[in-house]
Amino acid sequence: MDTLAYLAHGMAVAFEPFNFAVMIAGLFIGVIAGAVPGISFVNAMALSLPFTYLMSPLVAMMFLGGIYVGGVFGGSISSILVNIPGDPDSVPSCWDGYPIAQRDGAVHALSIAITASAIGGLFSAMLLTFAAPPFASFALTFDQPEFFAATLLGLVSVLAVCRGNLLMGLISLFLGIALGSVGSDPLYGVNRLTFGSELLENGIDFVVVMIGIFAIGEVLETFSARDQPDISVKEKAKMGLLSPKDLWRLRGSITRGTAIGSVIGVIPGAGAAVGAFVAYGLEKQFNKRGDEFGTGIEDGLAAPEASKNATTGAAMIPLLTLGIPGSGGAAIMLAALMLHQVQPGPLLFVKDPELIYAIFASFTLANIFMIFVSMLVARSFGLLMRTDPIILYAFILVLSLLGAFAVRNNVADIFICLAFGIIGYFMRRHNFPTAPLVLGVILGPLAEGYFMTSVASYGTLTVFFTRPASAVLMLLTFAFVAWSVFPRSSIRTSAAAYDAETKVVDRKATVRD
Amino acid sequence: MDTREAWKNIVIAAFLLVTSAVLAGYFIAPGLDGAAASRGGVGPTTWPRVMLIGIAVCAAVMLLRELARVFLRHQHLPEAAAETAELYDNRKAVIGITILVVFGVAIPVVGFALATVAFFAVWLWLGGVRRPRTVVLVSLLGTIALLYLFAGVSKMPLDRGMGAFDALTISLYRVLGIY
Repeated sequence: MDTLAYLAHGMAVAFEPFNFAVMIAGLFIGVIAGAVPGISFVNAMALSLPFTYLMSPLVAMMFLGGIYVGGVFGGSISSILVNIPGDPDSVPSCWDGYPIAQRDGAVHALSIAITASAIGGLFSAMLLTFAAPPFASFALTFDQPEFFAATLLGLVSVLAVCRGNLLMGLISLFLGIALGSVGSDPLYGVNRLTFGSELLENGIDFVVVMIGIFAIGEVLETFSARDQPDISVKEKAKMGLLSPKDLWRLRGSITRGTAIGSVIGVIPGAGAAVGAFVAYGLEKQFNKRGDEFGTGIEDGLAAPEASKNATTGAAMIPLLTLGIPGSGGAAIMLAALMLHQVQPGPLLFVKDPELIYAIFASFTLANIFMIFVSMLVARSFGLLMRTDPIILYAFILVLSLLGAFAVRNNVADIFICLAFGIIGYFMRRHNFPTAPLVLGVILGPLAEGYFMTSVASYGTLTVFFTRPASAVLMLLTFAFVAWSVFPRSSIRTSAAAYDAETKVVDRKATVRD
Repeated sequence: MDTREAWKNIVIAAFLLVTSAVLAGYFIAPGLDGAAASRGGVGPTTWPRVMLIGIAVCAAVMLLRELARVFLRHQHLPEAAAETAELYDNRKAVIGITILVVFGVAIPVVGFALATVAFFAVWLWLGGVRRPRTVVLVSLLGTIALLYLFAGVSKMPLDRGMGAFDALTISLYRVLGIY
């Protein structure tokens, strides 16, 4: 079967009523979580993770994919309507989106945003469909040293965008990998760092860590924020797609944004926030009206919108072909696959192409149906804002602890989750990036397994540098570390802007009615 | 320069340095002969030890940097550090963490159902929701919905509590039609 035939089969599977309904439910959850300030879509994905136990791997991926795609766009709704970004990746959408909404009406600004996002997302889904299989074929030639080098690259690349503080990013990463090594080692079965506890012999479950750090940590941070701005949205915000004439006028910025997002999405650890900031920064430089950006220039809204959704499909390429997540959302999708004992990597393309192409198809469909779901959510945004966030936080916290309990039906996991929630809160308070820790807990055991089996098989540590593909990946790893150390680069500059703006987002994010 | 922030970072760095060094030195796999268990210099303790040493080295660098900031007055802290402290209300943070920890401890003692009702009520009240009707309705209906979803539909073995609380939870489940 060739690519198109597999894709057609994938479409048929994705359109099965139950699968389709789950994807739409995921889109609704994602757009709403993205749109409501104080609840990120990554939070919603982490919270939804335990529920995927009840689903097949495909349905789980469609559900989480829906949240991911919808959530990346959802933040723009609040950016444009009330000038408060729902997520950090929607900060650039405030700068020109809100002034456009004030000047030309929210309908026009939302239409630019959804059209650019859908185009970026669709291109990215196509890129995923047609670029991932050839790359997976190439990756089939990889052995354990190459997989170790690729996983190491995934681990260190998160440092390039860890909010401008390399030292704290490194500590967070090492801590995550060390936590991932708790329990039996993969080769000898020796218990490490268990302190005699039977519970720790099985290791610390990364789902529990993710829920604690992302969901509980985020809620505690938002709950303790000092500023509680009031938001009221009186009018119903309708939106539609741009007319062909308007679309043609914005073709340049949408194309540039899509291209930037597609490239940045593939970089492990980067994600939608970096994509949006870099796209905005570059568009400002290239656009002939760059000096007027921030006053309501349509290109200044279209470029970051196209870019952030273009990262979604692209971030899945390293995930599905090498098992390395390209973003926080992709990391949770990796966790979902691992929960179902599905190991992403080149072999998955050979063993289960139906699953792979159904995932491709679901990403394409999610980007199309995101338009309709977003229209509905935007219309009822005012109603959403009337819900007291304290009530939402209460449910998120209870669901978080239930999710942790569901992992092993063990009360001890509730305490581990609580501990990581508190750790996550303090990490946020003291500017320790949390993403490296979570990535370390997920990828650390994989990296150790590849490392140990490589050394056991080849008998020497030099094997990582003597095999060509492994050597190239190790070189890229060192290049990433060097890149992170040197402050002048577009992504690092954007990361600094992201860092500064995130403080504003954090402050504004907690919304009280 | 915000010296308090710098001292806070010094305490964090010192804690990380000491903890990771002690763990790397003594607690990875006590009693294991690392040399005998290793192959080519790489054994079961190598990976976690390298990571803990990595934490210790980074913490040491952070410690030196922060000490330099305190004692060499010409180096200034980024403004963001001081701003961060102003963004948060520590009292609310302590309240939030305390309620959560008490909720976690209460689950195995009084059972999920009663602990959740109480958690919802206390969280909403301390979070600023002052309408008794809202607090009562959200606490009761929210807990019932969660019980139906997780204990009823998903058949999750939620903790029922100890002694009399176990009996009380079972009665509640019977009333709700879950059992």
